[in-house]
Amino acid sequence: MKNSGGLITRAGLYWLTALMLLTQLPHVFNLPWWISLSSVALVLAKLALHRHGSDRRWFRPAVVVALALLGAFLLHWQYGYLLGRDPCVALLSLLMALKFSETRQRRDVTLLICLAGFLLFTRFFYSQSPLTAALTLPALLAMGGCLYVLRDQTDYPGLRAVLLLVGKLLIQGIPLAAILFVLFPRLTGPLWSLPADAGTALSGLSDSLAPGMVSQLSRSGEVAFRVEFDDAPPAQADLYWRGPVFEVFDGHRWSGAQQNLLTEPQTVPAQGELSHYTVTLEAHRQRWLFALDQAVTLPQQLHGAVSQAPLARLSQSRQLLATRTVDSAIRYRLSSAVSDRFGDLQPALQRNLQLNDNNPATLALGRRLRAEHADDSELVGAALRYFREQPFFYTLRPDLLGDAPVDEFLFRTRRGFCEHYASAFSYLMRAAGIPARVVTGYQGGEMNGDYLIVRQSNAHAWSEVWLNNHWQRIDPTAAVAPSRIESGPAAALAHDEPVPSVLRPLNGWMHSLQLGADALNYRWRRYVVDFGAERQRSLFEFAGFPSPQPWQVLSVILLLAGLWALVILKLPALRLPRTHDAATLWARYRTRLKSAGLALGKQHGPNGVCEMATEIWPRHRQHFAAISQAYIQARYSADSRDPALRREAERRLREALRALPSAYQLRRSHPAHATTGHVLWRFQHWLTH
Amino acid sequence: MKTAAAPDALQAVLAQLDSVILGKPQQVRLSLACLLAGGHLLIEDSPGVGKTTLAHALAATLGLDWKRLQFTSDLLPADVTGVSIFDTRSHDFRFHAGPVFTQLLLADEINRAPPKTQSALLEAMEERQVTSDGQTRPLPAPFFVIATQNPADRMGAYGLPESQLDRFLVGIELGYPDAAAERALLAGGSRRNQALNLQPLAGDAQIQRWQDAAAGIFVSDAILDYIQALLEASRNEAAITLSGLSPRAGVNLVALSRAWALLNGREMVLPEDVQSVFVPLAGHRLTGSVSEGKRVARNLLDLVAVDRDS
Repeated sequence: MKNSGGLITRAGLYWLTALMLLTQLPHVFNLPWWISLSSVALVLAKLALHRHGSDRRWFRPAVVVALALLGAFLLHWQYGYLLGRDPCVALLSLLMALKFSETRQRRDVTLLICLAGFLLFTRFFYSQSPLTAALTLPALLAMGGCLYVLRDQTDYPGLRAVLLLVGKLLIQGIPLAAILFVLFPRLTGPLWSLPADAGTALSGLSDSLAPGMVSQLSRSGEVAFRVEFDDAPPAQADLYWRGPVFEVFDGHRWSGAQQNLLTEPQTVPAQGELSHYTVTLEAHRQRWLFALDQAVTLPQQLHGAVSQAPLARLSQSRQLLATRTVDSAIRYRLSSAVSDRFGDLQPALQRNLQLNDNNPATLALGRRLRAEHADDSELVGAALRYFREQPFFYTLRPDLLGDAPVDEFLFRTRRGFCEHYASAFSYLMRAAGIPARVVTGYQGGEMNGDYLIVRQSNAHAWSEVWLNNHWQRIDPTAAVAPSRIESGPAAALAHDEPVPSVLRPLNGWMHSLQLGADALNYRWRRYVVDFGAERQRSLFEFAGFPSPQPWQVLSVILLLAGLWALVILKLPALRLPRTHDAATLWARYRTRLKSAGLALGKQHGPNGVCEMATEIWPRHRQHFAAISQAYIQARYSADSRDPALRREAERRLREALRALPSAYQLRRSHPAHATTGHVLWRFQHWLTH
Repeated sequence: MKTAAAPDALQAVLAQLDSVILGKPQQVRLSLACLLAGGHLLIEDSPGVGKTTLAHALAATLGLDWKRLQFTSDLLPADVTGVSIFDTRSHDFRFHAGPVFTQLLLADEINRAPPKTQSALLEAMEERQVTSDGQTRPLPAPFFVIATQNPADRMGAYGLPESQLDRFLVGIELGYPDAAAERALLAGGSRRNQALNLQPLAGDAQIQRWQDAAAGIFVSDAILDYIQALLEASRNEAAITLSGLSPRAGVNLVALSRAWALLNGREMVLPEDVQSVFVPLAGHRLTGSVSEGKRVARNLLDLVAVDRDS
């Protein structure tokens, strides 16, 4: 801003109000309702009071400071802490509204626009989806409008003109932004990371398993992760995504054991076909990663860092554990041998035999099975037969279980979801003396074009038993409801059971719309959000410059930016042929006056136009005279024969035209202008332009 | 119309004329512009509105010698141009110059004379010379004819044909003075005497310089385009014109616009100059009557766009 003094005009204030409201808009979804409400109320109150000129009396510095302190106090009360993402964003939102309420001087506006820009940016802490980006667009337009309107307050060209101009500027800026986005050197790691808010809950598997937990998760349609396979994906029934493994059972609840991390991923040669794939895992605030059974390599992170160190290590129970909790989405590559069995050189068999005695009936059944079957494989087969032959039901609404949950489930209720079956089966195996544990994770997924979507509703639990010196996956759910494994949870539920909407197979356009939106989201994440040092390097390699020097990158950026400037900014050399001659400028001027309400005929010459206009708008007498004079100079004087002199006169004509208020403003100050006819005129004005 | 910008000497001339010809600034300026453009003036009006006074005042102010010729039905060409008479002492014919040999000729009621006499005058106006007995005698410079005719008096009159009207650069009506001017007229003494007693403010040389200056006024292509469009419109709009304007009328329009610009103290011709002189220039050529032609010429002006782009 050239001149930062002076008060804000009404038009400027309206633009700032629009900016304030549009900047708050995207945050409505992630801030407490009372923050958004009071911010909007402050903005509107400022506007209303300003119209009566009493805003200065109400929003005194003392009042503003008091309100800010109150806001901070309430935020601390709401969140319990103040230094975290959510309370800080909320406070910023509130402070911006307060700053706006006391803004009167133009010099405050710069600060306000910076605040708005920062607040807009914080929206990306929550989501980086295409929708979020689209939601910031109106605010960006408003920001451009504010900058334009406050740059020169004397000449407000009207809402439409400002929007068109700012829109044009934004579009013109896209190529430059794209050049910088692709070429500007990327940092290999974040400069600073966002403190994780403990209060925020994310859905996903947890670090213990009790009856009902997975069935609860199954009701969520949220995406857990997405997978791209290098080759054809394995069969649906083989898609067991290994997550937390539970080896400790206290009679009610399964939990993990303290694990030693393996130094080498492949302690025993894997059997089965190799599959190579890339996983994009959503944030779940836990340390584990998911891999197709059985992982034979350690995951390599793709996004951001170019480090060679693996992202995670395998634990003794073949669980992938990352070095940090997954607080933001990550992308990693690994390979698995698709198999339902794997060897283990140091199996912790003792731990997987541990029992407790609060499910005596199950213990008895286990012992009976042991007595009947000497061979472990036969025993497992008999147990599965038990599940298949007894009237067990696969349901999302199991009955509540009491103090002896396994007993109650196996002999009384017999209604349960996968975790009930896995838990009961593993306990039964331990009772029969076979080491067994519960594995949780996801089973199946939905192919969407070239990638697989795995949702929370795919959450699953199964058993692993130590059989013939290797761990064998046994899925008792498959024995009860085989269609769960073949076609997903919805198909496996009893016919009379209401299927939750997220599990219900969607048909027709709704489903394809959902999948299309997911594909868009996924590609946005892959190509825009995840564009990091690694991808940039591969781009440079593709272009034939495997590791360009910084000065090389810089010169390419400058070269492209220069090209951009030549084309978009139309540097003087390119601009000449496009300038309009005096006759065209004059014709536009006449149109402007006519649309402002001047009854000009085609027979009116420059002096006639000047006289007529001066009669109606005596205030702008000098403008009209200057315009006519410059036009006469360019078109009728001897200068019109000399190109250089004519251009000089045309330049003066353009300047004089710029100095004249817009048709809209002239119309407003036309003596015949009445407010009733105003709307009609706006319409007519819109039509004629 | 802004007149304040005229050069000082011209401004003084105009002021002096205005002081005698009350309430007719536009006609006074047109007359002067007509003179500066080297044309001749036709005044169409009833008797007693000040035609003669205007001629007197112009002649006196500009220091021109002038003659008045009352046209009658028995006026012969020789009565206008002059006659050669045998001189008995020198035994040859001596030319007795007619009233046309003057700088400003007031040809009163030109439509009363027979066509032969009219055409003798009009030829002299065009050629600026008189040929008699095989000898060509140039007329003095500047040579300026003010012809008058009475539109109400048609009986026994020979109306000028269009081809001859075309030779008058400007056709004006004086009209009755407005109330204030008439009051001043009544209160003052004889205007004609006043006119005769005026102080000359310029001479032949000065008038020549002004005429040269007028010829040097810049006319841009845009103005030429505009004038061409006007001429074309006069020919195409058959519904409102009897006959289109001649190329001579176009050339005259350029010259008169230049003189008008000079009177307004400008170095270039503006569309407004063309418009100001178009009606008096075209009126009498378009219909044969100044009062009728003025209306037609004004319509033409409204029809033609000043700028190509609007």
